[in-house]
Amino acid sequence: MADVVYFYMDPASPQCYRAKQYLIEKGIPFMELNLAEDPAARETYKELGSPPLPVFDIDGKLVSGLNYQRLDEAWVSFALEKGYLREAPPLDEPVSGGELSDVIALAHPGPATIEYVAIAAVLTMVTLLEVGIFYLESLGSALMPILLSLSSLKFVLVVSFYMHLKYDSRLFLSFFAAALLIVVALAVAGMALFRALV
Amino acid sequence: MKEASVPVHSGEVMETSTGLDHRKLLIWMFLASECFFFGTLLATYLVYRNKSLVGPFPEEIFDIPVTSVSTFVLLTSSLAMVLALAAIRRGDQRGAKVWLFATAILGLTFLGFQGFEFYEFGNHERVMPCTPGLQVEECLMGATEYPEPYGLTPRTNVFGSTFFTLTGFHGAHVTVGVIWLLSLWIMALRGELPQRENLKVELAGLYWHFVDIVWIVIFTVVYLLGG
Repeated sequence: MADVVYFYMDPASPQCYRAKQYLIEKGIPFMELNLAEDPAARETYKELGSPPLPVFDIDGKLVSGLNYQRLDEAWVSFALEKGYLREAPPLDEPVSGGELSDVIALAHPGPATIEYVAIAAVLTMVTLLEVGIFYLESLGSALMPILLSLSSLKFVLVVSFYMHLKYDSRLFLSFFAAALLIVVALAVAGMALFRALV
Repeated sequence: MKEASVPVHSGEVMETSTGLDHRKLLIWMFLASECFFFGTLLATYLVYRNKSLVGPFPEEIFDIPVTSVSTFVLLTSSLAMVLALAAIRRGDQRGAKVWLFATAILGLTFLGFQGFEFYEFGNHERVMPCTPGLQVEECLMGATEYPEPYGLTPRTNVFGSTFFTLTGFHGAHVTVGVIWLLSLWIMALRGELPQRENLKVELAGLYWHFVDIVWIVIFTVVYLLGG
């Protein structure tokens, strides 16, 4: 079995159409099992006990009917277990159903809007602090480690939250961190070679 | 490796061996390559730091308060970018248009600051004393000091070469980002950026935030630690 949601659906059903749109919006990988056209899918569905459609089979766990919150929770716990997600995302109030335009982007892992603004405020304060510290002549040689630490903090905040790396697949982090490590090593080696390290 | 289906557009399903969208994986690989690009330019700047034979030198030319404002502008643009993505994800078309445009405008403002800074650096002058026999108009007219051209260009010294290469390429990346964002904004205006296409905004956002973090590093390492 692949690491996807097996999505049993009837193409004539509006609930199933909404369910499919929801899976697409959320970016949840799924394998569509069309009960009207696929006899093998019909057999499997019968073996499952023909529960009310739409049916989501997530690694053997069944979510029957269009319940966005239960689907989100089932997918998130599966994704955490398999390593597609590294953090449990904050979940807000459940979606009541209804038209697609009413779907709130909850359970998409990541900060809420107010948290993005808070992070921006922190980034601004840290920048002000850096500039303030720059004018403190008394710091001497302590200036470099302090400024590098503060800018590293800003770097990590933007990469983790704005670029979503805290919540996304480890594969992305691997690419990025590996590249950073190699280039920093290259820079330090180059500076040492040309006697530019202070 | 496990096979998985990744939904692309409504009705289409794409097989990937990671379960992740090709485009998102590719953008991260691209950003990794951009780490090498900017990392090596920054390394070159650092190797040549304090090795210029003639001025202007960093401490003579940098205007930290002005550059701090441009840094703040770019940081704010990253906030606008995440708000644009949040808007498109919840189906808020109006919000997406507003925040995409705001991000682009803030990016253009940053470029304006950069253009102003490059112009000021190129036309920088320093005050020099009038010495006897000096054939300078102001001195011949009886002044005790005169403004001497003391501009910084890529050809002036090693500091100029490495500084303009690094910040110039960063500015070029910001320009590409602004064009990308304005393209998305026009798509949104034409109703061609529905909620299910939110990945397009996410990919542009990843590029934009990367350009921002490169500037975070440049601002600290080149400007604040420059002298």
